[in-house]
Amino acid sequence: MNLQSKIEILAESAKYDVSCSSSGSERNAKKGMIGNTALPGICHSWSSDGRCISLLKILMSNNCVYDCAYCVNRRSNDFRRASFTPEELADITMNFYKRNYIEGLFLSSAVIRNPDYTMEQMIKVAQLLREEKGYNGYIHLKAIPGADHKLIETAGYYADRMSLNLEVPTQNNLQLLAPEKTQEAITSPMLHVKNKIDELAHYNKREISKPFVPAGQTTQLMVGATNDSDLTIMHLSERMYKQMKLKRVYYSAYIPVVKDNNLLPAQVDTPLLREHRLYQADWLLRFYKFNAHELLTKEAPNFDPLLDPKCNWALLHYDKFPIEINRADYYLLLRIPGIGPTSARRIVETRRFAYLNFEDLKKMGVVLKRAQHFILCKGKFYGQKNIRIELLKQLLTSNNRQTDQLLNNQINLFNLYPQTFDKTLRA
Amino acid sequence: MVILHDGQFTSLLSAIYDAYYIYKHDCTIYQDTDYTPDLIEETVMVFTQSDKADKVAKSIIAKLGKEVFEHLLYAFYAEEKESSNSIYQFLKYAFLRGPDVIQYRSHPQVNPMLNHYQRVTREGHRMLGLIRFVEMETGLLVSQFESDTFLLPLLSSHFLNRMTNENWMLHDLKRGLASVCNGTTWNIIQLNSTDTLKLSNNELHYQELWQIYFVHIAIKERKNSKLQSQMMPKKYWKYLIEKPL
Repeated sequence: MNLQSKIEILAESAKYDVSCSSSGSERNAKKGMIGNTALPGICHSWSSDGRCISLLKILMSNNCVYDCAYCVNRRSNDFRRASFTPEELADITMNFYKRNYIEGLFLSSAVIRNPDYTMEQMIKVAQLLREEKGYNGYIHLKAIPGADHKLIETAGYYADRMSLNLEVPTQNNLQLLAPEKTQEAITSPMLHVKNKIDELAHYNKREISKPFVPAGQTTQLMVGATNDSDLTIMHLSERMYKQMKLKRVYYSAYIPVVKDNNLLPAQVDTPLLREHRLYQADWLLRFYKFNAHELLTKEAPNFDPLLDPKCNWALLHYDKFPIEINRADYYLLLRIPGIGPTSARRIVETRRFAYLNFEDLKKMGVVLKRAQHFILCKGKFYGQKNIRIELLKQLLTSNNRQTDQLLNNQINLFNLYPQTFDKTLRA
Repeated sequence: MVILHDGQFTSLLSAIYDAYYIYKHDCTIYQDTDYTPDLIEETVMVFTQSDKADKVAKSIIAKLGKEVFEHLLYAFYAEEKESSNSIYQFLKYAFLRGPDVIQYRSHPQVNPMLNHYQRVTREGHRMLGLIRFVEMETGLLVSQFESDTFLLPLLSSHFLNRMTNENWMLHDLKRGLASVCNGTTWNIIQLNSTDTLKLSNNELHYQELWQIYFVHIAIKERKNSKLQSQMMPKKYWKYLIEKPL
């Protein structure tokens, strides 16, 4: 098989992995070597689905011994198979990197023979790149569940970032869909890497010869394949951030790759919009200091498809608003819809010089369309006065380009909220 | 009074010197090519005078710091009509109030300069990813691109840091300038065409692999051309190896 077909097949097999970021690691180039890493990461291209291409995201092999129901690479799928040799992959990575096509390598693999063998093959690629080819750029390695912890540790010394995909949020559903995997087998290597990172954090940087997973760990959860609610997913993510100290949890809207399986839905309603809402909530957890239980409750365990989670929270806590932007502290500013970490920081910086008025906020990058209903500037309120919550909700949901794009006529506004619309039409 | 400079940063600094000491602040500064003369406004042309430029540069660094100086330099690279004047207006205010005013984002003498600065750093960051090198027979890596703002210094220092033992050239076709690097330093030269260079043997092979990869990494069920061209505007597609559609 020639390289062209290999790259075609193994890119096809790797594309459902969402993670592609090259961020979180900062390393200068070394003399005689090629490559460095940039802390914010760099995107190099965008494919036709609008997702960025930062790393060469590819599988070592798609010849899998497992039979996970949700996966295209499962052994029962009649499908073209291919494998790279470590030399081929190292060569492609070097040449792509040199031409600035990519920011690094994201290597994953189906389980070839057994987890240990697979992990060894992947380590070989990283070793070739780092020790023989003089490659100093970004490497993201997927840890294979069930591989020996020693091997995973070795991989960690070559990689910038490691990841293990949970895919299915609950143990029961995992048992059903991926009988060869257990949640424990997925989380135990993750815990091992976390403990190692914690252990090395006690040392001075100079005492450690090689950095160990400097950009931390990530994971991925599948959305829409199982009946798990957004609440379950958010609680799991929160646990992952707090206990496992993960850098990112990715959410992947399930695309029915399997047609005739009674365990999985053949068609999923608006998974993309749901994925989008989960990402918004995920950002609220990481950068806005929200807790999962603030965003969702047992009574309303799923996000409103029409309204972003932050606006939703603000409407539920409308009694806390409006907030005076000249007085509120940073964390309170972050709770206002339309204000993010950047604009909140700028507001805090700028008001040391002068009282801010409504026009100034535009220059800070505040989205006034949303923020105006929740703020006071020099004591003055600029939103609509005496507005009922239902109407405000409508104002906030109308003409939202992003939502419209994702909705794509997949659900009908009127069918979704018959009561709301009846009420407002009557009023 | 309108002071015109010839498009060099040093000549802008000289103009600022004159604005301070000769015209006592009663002026605006433009690049000569951006300015359309009118009947009322008196204009004067200023060229680089290295002693004046030096003095201004030194006092900016001493009183306002290196970070502010870098902001001003990048704001200048925006190459917009108002960018020279925004730098002058910022300096007038900053010399009165100190370097912290760079955080006074809402001030009319600070805000325009920061906007110009942001235009350059934004496009610069985007370009760090969108630059594509082509390997020539001699091993030289050549990249052609066009950008709205002047990015050669920003891009050059990035690639110098990244590739320690490669020879490369960044060719800004819009301005007819190129930055040439031998692995240790880079220089900007005037250059119009690189057509005489031949591709290396493997070049087309890797280009093909990349094109194949680009097509097959996309999830077809999720096609979203609007998002794609939003993230990667079409004006940058011309020099890419892959063919987005």
